[in-house]
Amino acid sequence: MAKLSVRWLVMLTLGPAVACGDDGSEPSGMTEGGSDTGTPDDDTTTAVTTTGQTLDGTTTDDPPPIEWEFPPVFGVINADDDDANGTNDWYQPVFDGEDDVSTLAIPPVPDGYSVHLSMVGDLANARVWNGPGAFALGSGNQIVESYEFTPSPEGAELLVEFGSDNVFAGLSITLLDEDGAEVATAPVELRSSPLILNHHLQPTEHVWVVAVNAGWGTNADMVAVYEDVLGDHFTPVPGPSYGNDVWIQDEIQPAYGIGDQGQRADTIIDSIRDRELDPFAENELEGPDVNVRTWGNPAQVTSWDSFGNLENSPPVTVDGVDYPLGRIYYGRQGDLGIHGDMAAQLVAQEVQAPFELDTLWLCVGHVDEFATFVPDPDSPKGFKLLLADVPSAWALLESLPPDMALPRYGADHGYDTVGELLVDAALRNLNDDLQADELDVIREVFVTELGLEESDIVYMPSLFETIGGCGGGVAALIPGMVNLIVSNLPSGETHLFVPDPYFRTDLGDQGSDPVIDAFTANLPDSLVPHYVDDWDVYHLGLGEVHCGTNMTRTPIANWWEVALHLL
Amino acid sequence: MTTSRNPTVSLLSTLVALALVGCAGGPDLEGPDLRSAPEAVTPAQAAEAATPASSADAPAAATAEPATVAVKEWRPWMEAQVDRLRREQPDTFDAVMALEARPTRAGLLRLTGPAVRNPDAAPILLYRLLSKGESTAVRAAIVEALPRTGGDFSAAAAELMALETAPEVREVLCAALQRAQAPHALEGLALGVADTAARVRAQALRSLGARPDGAQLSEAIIAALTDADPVVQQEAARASGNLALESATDALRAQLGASSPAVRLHALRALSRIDPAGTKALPELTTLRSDADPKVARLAERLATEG
Repeated sequence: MAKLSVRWLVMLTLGPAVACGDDGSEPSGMTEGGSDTGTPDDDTTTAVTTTGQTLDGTTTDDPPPIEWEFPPVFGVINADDDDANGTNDWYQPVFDGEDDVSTLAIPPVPDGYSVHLSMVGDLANARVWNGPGAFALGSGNQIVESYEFTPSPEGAELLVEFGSDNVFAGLSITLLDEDGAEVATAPVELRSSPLILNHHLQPTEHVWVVAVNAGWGTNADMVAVYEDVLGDHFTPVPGPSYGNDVWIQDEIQPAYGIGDQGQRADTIIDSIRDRELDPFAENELEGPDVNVRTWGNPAQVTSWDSFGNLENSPPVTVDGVDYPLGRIYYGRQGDLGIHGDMAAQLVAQEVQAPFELDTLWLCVGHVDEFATFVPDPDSPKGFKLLLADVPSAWALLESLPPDMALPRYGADHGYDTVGELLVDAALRNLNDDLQADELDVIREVFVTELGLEESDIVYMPSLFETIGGCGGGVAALIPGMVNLIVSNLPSGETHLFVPDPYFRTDLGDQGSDPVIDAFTANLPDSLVPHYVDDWDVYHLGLGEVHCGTNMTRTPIANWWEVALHLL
Repeated sequence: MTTSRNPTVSLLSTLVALALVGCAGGPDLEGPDLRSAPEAVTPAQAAEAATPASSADAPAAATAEPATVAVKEWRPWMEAQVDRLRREQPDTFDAVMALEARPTRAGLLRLTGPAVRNPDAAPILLYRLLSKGESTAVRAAIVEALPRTGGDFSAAAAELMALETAPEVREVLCAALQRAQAPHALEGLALGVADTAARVRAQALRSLGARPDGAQLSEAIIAALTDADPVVQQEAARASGNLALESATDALRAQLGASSPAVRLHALRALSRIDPAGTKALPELTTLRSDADPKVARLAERLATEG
């Protein structure tokens, strides 16, 4: 159900009130997604006079009707600090300039009449003010369930505030006459936006990379490519300010809430990873309409709590159910994986129905090491899943001259030529086993959970190797090219920033690289790939371009219109 | 096991036997710190070396005759190289000595960058390993970088397996030995297979399974199929398959009933690599096709049904 407003027209004249259908004692009609409220539907307007007459046939001398109808409120969490006073706005009265509350207009009522409010649902995380500073009901010093007031002659403006994501409360607004008798009542659905993660089809707003130039590596070339392509959409973060912690994907996860009165509440989910980039969110991003929040216990942190292990698909339809905001996925199996508190928070948002993948086989253990999504406007679903794939890597290598020199792979991976890769039985066994035991299973999960067809998947050549000191876990041998960044620019172009695989003899000639050729050939035509040098800083650090980049995107503005059926 | 009159193999057998003896009655994990190694290269280390290591802290392998571990005089070579590089390439020397071990995405430390991709970096890293009193994590990072230098580290890594105190570092030594030269690689890995720390034994088996000459330690690999640790069993199975050890068949078959799904999986897979036709005919395959673990069941199904 897209909307649950109940439209009552009340003709107010002198005289006794009559029953108006709903007795106002329960906020019926507030059930999630339902419309079986016993009250009129959206398109049914019931006009009621105090004499019991309907509006039909009323005379022109009758006073104008009061439309006792209220739209649902789709607000946002108010957990930022708009007045920059160091206090979370939820924990202080609404002030001038606060833009994360929703308004609910109460029309003028006749002299002597009053309005009664009652609320059920998550009262600990919903609050109604009768104007700034006048707490009415919900979460205050104690939970208040009802409130009665007399609006001013101009009416009243209630302020609705939420203290959490995906909050539901049912507000019942009852008009009472001079004698306290009920004239009319109307239920109002109060909801705060779920905390929503972006997907790769949304427009880029801003991109960050930690710029480093240290003895162990520099990403100056990669930064230069970002600057050139993204311009003002890109900011390099000074590495020395954050201990040269380059893994900015892992530290923060941009998310958002949207309200139907123009509110946008960004949340930066700050990982319990807590390495040198830990203060980045507070230092650089936190502010009005941007709050920083954390789920999980830092004392229990694992590599799975980094946000390369938290991704979201584009919109999908699965078994007839639309997921217009995509579906979240992360690495977790049983008790091992992303922290349970983080997972529970994401599950509780409902609209992006998370599913789990097995990443225990990886040294780092993140979902971005083997899969990503790219836009494909020409395909039925509008995207393609790029999936790491071992057989296509072997097929590609077998098509190359065995004596083809690979200078980047000799020292760093122990393979001087293509032939040396091909004759390494243990490497082949390892990768074939990974394909059979892990990647094929992951593919099946994607197909099932996202309703994919074979034509939605692009298999990208990938090989893995065991990492010493990592308990048998593996990481990309050929730089993990699906670990890429998708940037949709206002120009309409979609740029990809992809790890340069350096699978060639002449390191300066990307045009001679067969892996780049294969990767490019597999991409949808509309995409513009940039193969960037991430070798020393990222690849040898067991990550790639995506791991070293983070991005905000323009939110999808109408979750209440497209995703309410999931709540 | 491949039998040979090769003195290297005999030496390896001796090492394995000594190490296993040490394992059986030895202490757990820790041994003398490198800073108390008898061939310390700085005055401070020489002074430290005068203090005998506590026998209670000695690693299993250290109970072997030290002289039998060092099959190449790598320390004099390292010192000569360091002297040369200090004179001729002081910038290179200083850069490698000062190179920061940076955190990988997994949290492990690594040394990366162009300074590492230089054969001359190998003796400098070894010198740094012995002289700077680095933390365990940095020592592991230094060891991890050794193969990526392209320089000579084989004998040093083998000897360090007997001297290094931290299992985390010995584990990485075993990984480095995958790319080391024979005979040193197998000498070091023989110690690794017999290490008191399961993580070291497991990594030694991974490295052996990835070396074409790993079958020279087939007896140790097969013995590890019944190791107390299931991860070690699993890696022993994987190595057996990679090396196509026919002599491991019975032990692998016995592991098809292991309680660990990973052991069952890798035992079955190893058997299929050693004897595809024979594995397809195994009566156990019927049970494994309905194994509680989906990976095992899927592999068994594929083996039973594919041509």
